[in-house]
Amino acid sequence: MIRKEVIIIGAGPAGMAAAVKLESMGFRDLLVLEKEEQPGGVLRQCIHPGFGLIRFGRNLTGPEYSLEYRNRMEEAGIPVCYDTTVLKVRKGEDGGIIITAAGPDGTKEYYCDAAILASGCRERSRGALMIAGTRPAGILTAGTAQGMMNLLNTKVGERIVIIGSGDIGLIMARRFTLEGSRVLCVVEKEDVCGGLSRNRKECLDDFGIPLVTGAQVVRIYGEKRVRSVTIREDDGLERTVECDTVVLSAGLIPEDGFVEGEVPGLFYCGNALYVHDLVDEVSESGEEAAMDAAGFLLSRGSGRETFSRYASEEVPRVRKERRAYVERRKEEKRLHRDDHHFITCIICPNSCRIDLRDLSGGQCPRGEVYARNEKEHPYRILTTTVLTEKGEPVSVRTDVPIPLEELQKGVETLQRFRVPGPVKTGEILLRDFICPGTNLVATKGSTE
Amino acid sequence: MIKETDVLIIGAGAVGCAIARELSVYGRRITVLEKEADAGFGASGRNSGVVHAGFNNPSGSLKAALCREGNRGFEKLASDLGIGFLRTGKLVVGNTERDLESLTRLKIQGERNEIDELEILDEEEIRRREPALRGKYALWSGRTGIFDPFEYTLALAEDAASGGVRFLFGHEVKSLRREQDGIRVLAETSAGDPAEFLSGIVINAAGVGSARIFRMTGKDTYRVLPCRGEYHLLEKGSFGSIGRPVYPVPDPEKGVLGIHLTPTLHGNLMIGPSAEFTEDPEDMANTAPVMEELLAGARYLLGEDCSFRLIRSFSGIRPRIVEKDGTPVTDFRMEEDPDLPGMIHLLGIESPGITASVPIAKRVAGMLREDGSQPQDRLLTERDRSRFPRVKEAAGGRMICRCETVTEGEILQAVENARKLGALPTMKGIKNRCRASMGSCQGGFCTLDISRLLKDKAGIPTDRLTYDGPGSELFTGVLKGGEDQ
Ligand SMILES: Cc1cc2nc3c(=O)[nH]c(=O)nc-3n(C[C@H](O)[C@H](O)[C@H](O)COP(=O)(O)OP(=O)(O)OC[C@H]3O[C@@H](n4cnc5c(N)ncnc54)[C@H](O)[C@@H]3O)c2cc1C
Ligand SMILES: Cc1cc2nc3c(=O)[nH]c(=O)nc-3n(C[C@H](O)[C@H](O)[C@H](O)COP(=O)(O)OP(=O)(O)OC[C@H]3O[C@@H](n4cnc5c(N)ncnc54)[C@H](O)[C@@H]3O)c2cc1C
Repeated sequence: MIRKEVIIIGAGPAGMAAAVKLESMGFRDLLVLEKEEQPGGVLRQCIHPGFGLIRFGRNLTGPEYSLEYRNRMEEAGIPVCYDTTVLKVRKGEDGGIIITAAGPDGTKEYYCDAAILASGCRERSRGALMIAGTRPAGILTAGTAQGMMNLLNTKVGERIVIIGSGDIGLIMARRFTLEGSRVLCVVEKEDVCGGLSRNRKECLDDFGIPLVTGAQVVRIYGEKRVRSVTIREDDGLERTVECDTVVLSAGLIPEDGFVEGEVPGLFYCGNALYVHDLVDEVSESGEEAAMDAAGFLLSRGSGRETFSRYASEEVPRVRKERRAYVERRKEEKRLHRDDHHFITCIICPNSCRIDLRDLSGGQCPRGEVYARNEKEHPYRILTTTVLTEKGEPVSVRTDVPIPLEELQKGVETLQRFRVPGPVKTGEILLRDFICPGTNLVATKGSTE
Repeated sequence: MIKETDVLIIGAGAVGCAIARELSVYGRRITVLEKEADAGFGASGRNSGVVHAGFNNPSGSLKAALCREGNRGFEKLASDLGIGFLRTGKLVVGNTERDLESLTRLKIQGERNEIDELEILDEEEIRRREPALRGKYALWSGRTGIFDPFEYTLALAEDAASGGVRFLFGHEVKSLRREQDGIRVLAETSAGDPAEFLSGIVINAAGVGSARIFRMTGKDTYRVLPCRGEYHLLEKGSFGSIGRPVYPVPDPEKGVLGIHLTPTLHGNLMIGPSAEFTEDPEDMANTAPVMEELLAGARYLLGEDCSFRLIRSFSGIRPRIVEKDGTPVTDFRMEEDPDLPGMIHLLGIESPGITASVPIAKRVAGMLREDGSQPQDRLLTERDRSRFPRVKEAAGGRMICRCETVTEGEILQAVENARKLGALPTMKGIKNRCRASMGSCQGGFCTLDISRLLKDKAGIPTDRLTYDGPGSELFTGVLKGGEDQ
C-alpha cells in the first residue's frame, strides 16, 4: 500500500490545476495518477484555438493551454504516475480513501486522506441513442474522430453526417472540411444549436455546412461500411442522405464509474463533476476542489463541518443544478436563436453588437466598418497537423489570423510538407506562410 | 489447383467448430471453410448465451434429447475448454391462471424429457430469488445456465486447430459437385479468387446459409425463412440483482421463447430477442418499432416504471426452415444426401443449437464412424493448447480499455490467437476474444489506443484496420502525406 496525503486522479486541465493549487497551499505529499503517458487529457487532441481567453487573455490551442499547466506542475515538482489507470475508489475503514490502480508494474493499492477526482468525461455512444439500423464500420464519436485525425494521422471518412451539434461536433465539422472530407449536414434533435454561437459561426457558417435542427437520424444503413442515413425532420418527413461516415456529438457523460458510492474526502472537479463548456472553467473548478480538499484536511478532527459543493456527497445535487442551468440556457438560446449572425465589435470598449446581415447595431460608423470587414474578409487562425520526417503528426497554427478563404489552401500546402528533424513547442516551422509576415508555429513538440 | 481433404466442413459457427473438434481425433485431414473473417460471426455470436435445460422442446424430439445431453455435459465441456459457465437456474414468469396452466404443462413436458430441478414457484418465492421481478407464478429450472458464446465458439475452434484442423476464413462456398473420388467444392475468397476443394465428406453447417448449400446439390426440398431476433444490451449493474435468465410464458403460436432478460457472465443484462421474419438472411438491422417492443417486453417483467441504460443493440437470425410446401421444420435435421454419399446436411439448427452443439457433433461423428475409422487420440484435453493461450493470462502492459479493464497484453494475444487460427485480425474478433471496446463507452476511448497498438506492435496499418473483414475498413485513409507512405 502506497500512502499519500492527497491523490489526484487524472492529469487533464482539472487535475493539473488542482495539483498545482494544492502544492501552492503547502501540501507536498501529493501524487497524480494518469492513465495516459502524458498529461493534458482531452486537450492533447484539441489542436484548434479557443482556449484560455478568460484565464490567460490569449487565444490558445488545447496543447498550448495544457503546456502552461504542465510547466507549472513540473516546476512545482509534483510527481505523476503515468500509464496508471484507476480501477476503483472506495472508502477505507478508518476514514481514509483506498484507490486501486493498474500501472506499468501491476495493480497496486494507494491510501490517502483526501483525493481529487479529475477523470473527465466520455462521449455518449450510438447504443444510448436508440438509432435503428445496422452496425457497419464508419460510426464513431466526434472525440474519437478528433483523436484519430490529430494524434494518429488518420482520415476517418469522406462523406460525413454529424449527429448532434455539441461543440466537439462543430469543431470537427470544420476540421473534416479543411482536411478534404465533405460534411453533408449536422443534425440536431433540439430546436437550437447545442454548441456555442462562436463555434456555430466559425465552424459551420464559415464553410456553408447546413445545420438541420428539430431533426433526428432515425436509421443507419450499410452492411460493411455506412452507406446512408435516414433523417426525420420536425414535420415528420424523412429523407435519405448517402454518406460513408456518421459522427456522433450527442452528449458527454462524466467518467466516475469506478467510484464506489459516497467517499468522504473525495472531491470532484472538471468534467468528472459535470461537463463544462470552457477549459478555463474546468481549471477553475480544479482549483476550487483543491481548496475544498485543503479545508477538509485542515478541519479534520476539529469537529467543524466542512461544506463543499465538490464533495462526493454533493455530486448528485450539483449535477442536478447543472442540468437545470443547461435547460435555462437552452431557453435563452431559443430567444437568441440568430445569435450566430451577430458579432461584438472590438474597436472600442462600447462592445456594440452588430448584425452581420445588414451591419446595423453599431453606435458609430467604425462598428459598421468592423462588421463589413468581418463579413466580407473574415480572418481566422488556421490550425492543422503536419508530419515530421519520421511520420509523427505534430499540431501547428498560424501565429495570426489569415483570410478565411485561404484556410483551405493553407491545409493543402501542408499536405506533403515534412518537418525536418525534431520539433519544439513554439518553434516557427514556416515563415511567410500563405500571407507575408504570417508564421506557421508548432503548438506541440514532437516526441523525438 | 484443387486442394484435397478428407472432411470439409462448411461454416465456422459453434456447430461447425464443434464438429471439427470432435472429428479431429480421428487423424483425418479436416478443413473448415468460413465466408466471414473469423469464427463465430454468425448466429453463434448473436444469441442469448443460455445453456438451456430442454423442457421447452417437444418430448421425443432431437432438440429435447440433444439439449439435455448438452446441458448435462456442460460443466465438463467448459472445464475442458477452459471457459466460463455458470449454472444460474432460470425463471419462466406468468401472471394469469392461464399462464399457470402453461407453466405446469411446460413442467410436465420437461419431466417427460427427463429434466430435473423443475419447480413451480409462487409470488413470494419469485421475489425471494429475484427481488426486481414482477410476476405471480413461475417455473423454476435449476439446470439452466449462462455462458459466453464468443468465448465458447472460439475455444472450440482453437481446440480443433490444436488438433490439426485447418480453418480457411474468407472462403464462401458457391457450388458443390459430385466427382468420382469425392465431392468437389468451389469457394470464392473475399479477394474474389476461386478456390477448389475435393473431399470425401462434406458437412453443411452453414447455419442460416445451410438451405442455400442444400440447394447447391440440385434439390429444392427446403427453404430458409430467416427469423430475426433483436436485442438490447444494458450497462453493467442494471437492475442490480438479476442473476439468472428470466423468461415470460412462451407464446406457442410464435414458436419462440419470448422477450427475456439474460444476465451475461460479465455482469451486463440483455433484453431480447424479438421474432420477426425478414426477407434477407443477412439483414441484421435493428428496427425502431422492435427496439420499443423490447423495452415493453422488459417492462412486463420488471414493472412499468423502470428505465434502461442501453449500450448497444444488435440482432441475430434464426435459420428457420420450411419444406417446399411450406411445412415448418420444427426439429433439427441431420441427414446424409442419399444421392450424394458423404454429403451431410445440418438444417434448422435453431435454439437450443448452441447448447446442443457438441451432442450434434457427436451424432455427426457417429454417422461417419460407420465407415470403421477409429479415434486416434481420445484425450482432447491433453492436446497442445499452449498454442492458444487464454487471453486473460497475457494480461500486462498498459490498460487500454477502461470499461472492461483490458490490457495491451490481452489485445496482442487476441491478435495472435486470431492469426494462429487463420483468421484475419479484426476489431470485432479482438472484441470477441478479449472484450476490449465491449463496455459502456463502446470504444469511445480505446479505439484510438487499440489502433495505435495494432499499428505499432501487431503490424496492422490503421487504414487497413477493419471492423469485421474486408469492406468494413474503419477509416478511409491516411490524413497527411498519404501518397508517399
Ligand atoms: C473534443 C473536445 C473539444 C473541446 N473544445 C474546447 C474548446 O474549444 N474550448 C474550450 O475552452 N474547451 C473545450 N473543450 C472542453 C475542455 O477541453 C474540457 O472541458 C477539459 O479538457 C476537461 O478537463 P478535465 O480535466 O475535466 O478532463 P480531461 O481533459 O478529459 O482529463 C481527464 C484526465 O483523466 C485521465 N483519466 C480518466 N480516467 C482515468 C482513470 N480511471 N485513471 C487515471 N486517469 C484517468 C484521462 O486520461 C485524462 O488525462 C473541449 C472538450 C472536448 C472533449
Ligand atoms: C436470437 C437467437 C437467440 C438464440 N439463443 C440461444 C440460446 O440462448 N441458447 C442456445 O442454445 N441457442 C440459442 N440460439 C441458437 C444458436 O445460436 C444457434 O443454434 C447456433 O449458434 C447455430 O450454430 P451454427 O454453427 O449452426 O450457425 P452459425 O453460428 O450461424 O454458423 C454458420 C456459419 O456458416 C457460415 N456460412 C454460411 N454460408 C456459408 C457459405 N456459403 N460458405 C462458407 N460459410 C458459410 C456463416 O458465415 C456462419 O459463420 C439462438 C439463436 C438466435 C438467432
